[in-house]
Amino acid sequence: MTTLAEAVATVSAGDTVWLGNFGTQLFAVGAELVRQEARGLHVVLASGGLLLDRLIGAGVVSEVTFAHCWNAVGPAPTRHFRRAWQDGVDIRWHELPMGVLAAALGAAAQGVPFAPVRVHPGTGYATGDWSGGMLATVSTPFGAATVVKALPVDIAFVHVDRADAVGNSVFSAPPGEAVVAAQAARRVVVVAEEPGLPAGVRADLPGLLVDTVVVSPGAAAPDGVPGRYPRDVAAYTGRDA
Amino acid sequence: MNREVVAFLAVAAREFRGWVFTGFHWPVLAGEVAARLDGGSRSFRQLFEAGFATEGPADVLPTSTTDFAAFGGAIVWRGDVLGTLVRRADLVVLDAANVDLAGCVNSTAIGDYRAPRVRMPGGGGAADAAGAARDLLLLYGGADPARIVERVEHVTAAPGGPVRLRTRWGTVRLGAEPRLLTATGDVLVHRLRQLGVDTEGAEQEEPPTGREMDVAAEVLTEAAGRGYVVAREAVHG
Repeated sequence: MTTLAEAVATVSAGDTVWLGNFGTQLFAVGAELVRQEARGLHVVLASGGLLLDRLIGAGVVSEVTFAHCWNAVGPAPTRHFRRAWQDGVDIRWHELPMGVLAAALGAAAQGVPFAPVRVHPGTGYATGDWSGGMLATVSTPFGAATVVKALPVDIAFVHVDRADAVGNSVFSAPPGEAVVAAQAARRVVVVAEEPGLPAGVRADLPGLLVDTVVVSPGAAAPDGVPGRYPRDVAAYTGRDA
Repeated sequence: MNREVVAFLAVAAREFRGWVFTGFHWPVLAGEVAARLDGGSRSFRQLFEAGFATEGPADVLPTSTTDFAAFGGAIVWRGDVLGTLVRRADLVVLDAANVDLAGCVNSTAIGDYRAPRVRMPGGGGAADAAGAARDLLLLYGGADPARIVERVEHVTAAPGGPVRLRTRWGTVRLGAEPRLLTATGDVLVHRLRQLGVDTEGAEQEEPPTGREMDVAAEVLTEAAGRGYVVAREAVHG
């Protein structure tokens, strides 16, 4: 086990960083990245939200792979994200449907170069290169398919409810693409609300996948964690949306 | 309280049956109205893009589909939804703030994609869900009929099958041959005529019952306290 600050300090410029989780976002990791003045990161965050918005505003990111970005409460626009696009800030964007983003992580997890995906041919993802070069069409003896390029991750920060000393972890919220992101990552840091697993509880994420365990109660706030704390609506609506 | 919005929500809730994929925003509110009206019969279940399913009402009104602490004990299953299960759902319900006659939704940008005048949030899982839907219902609860256009500037989500749009003024079948299905008042009729859509033969929507209106108003009131902008406008004007 280590501290959040020590774990975040291992992130280097140019790293591809998956920040979890979908709906229980690791705001504590984001705050630490900002505090340590991280720069030049490729951030992968399916549901960008206020966490991605804050990282954009603080100049942490140079590349982003995402499915959407807004303040989930309201809902309301996220201003740094919006301004970055509208003002032409020098960030490389990869916009993908959420299911396709998860498939890209899945390809990396399996060590294959791409994965076939379902992308409606009438959408801008297919016609407008919203993906920034991540989608292609291939012809195989089994038929033609749209494919998404594998998205390997240098370091994944995964929110879990509890974790033991070797990283066996349990979720208390739907994990979204967290498991496949962990499998796609070269290094995995789990950020737990509480240390240790209760007797008889089966791990959702095996320690085999985990390199570092951090215990950080409240790490997802102002998002909520079932059974621990609710989403802080006042904090969400008071943010710079 | 804006009774037009309450009625929209009350009637939209009638759509929930079988397995429903519930998207962000208006669909969450309609699903919650439906779940409260459903009582203990549990006649439908909801799937959400984060990978879980629910039966019955949430513990407290969810601020979004990712407000897991609000769904709490209602979560009955978790796993992949967008890649596998959404195409098995009986109905997919998505929010549509800018929609065209083909049933395509723009939630990405106004103006050039790379240099937009207005950058919107993007589609999340909407493209996956709409494209795989066996039956797609779009909800627009706003007050501006001009949000319905002949062709959206950018397509974030496109239907893979039949698609309808439900608004506070009625319901329209979108796609190759758009057709007005139900109308309440003449706002939607006028807008569709502007777009060259035949509006003959539309039926009157069966008005919501007092019980439906009460529950929809209850949900909207709670939603206003949970940060929903549209609910604040409906409740406080």
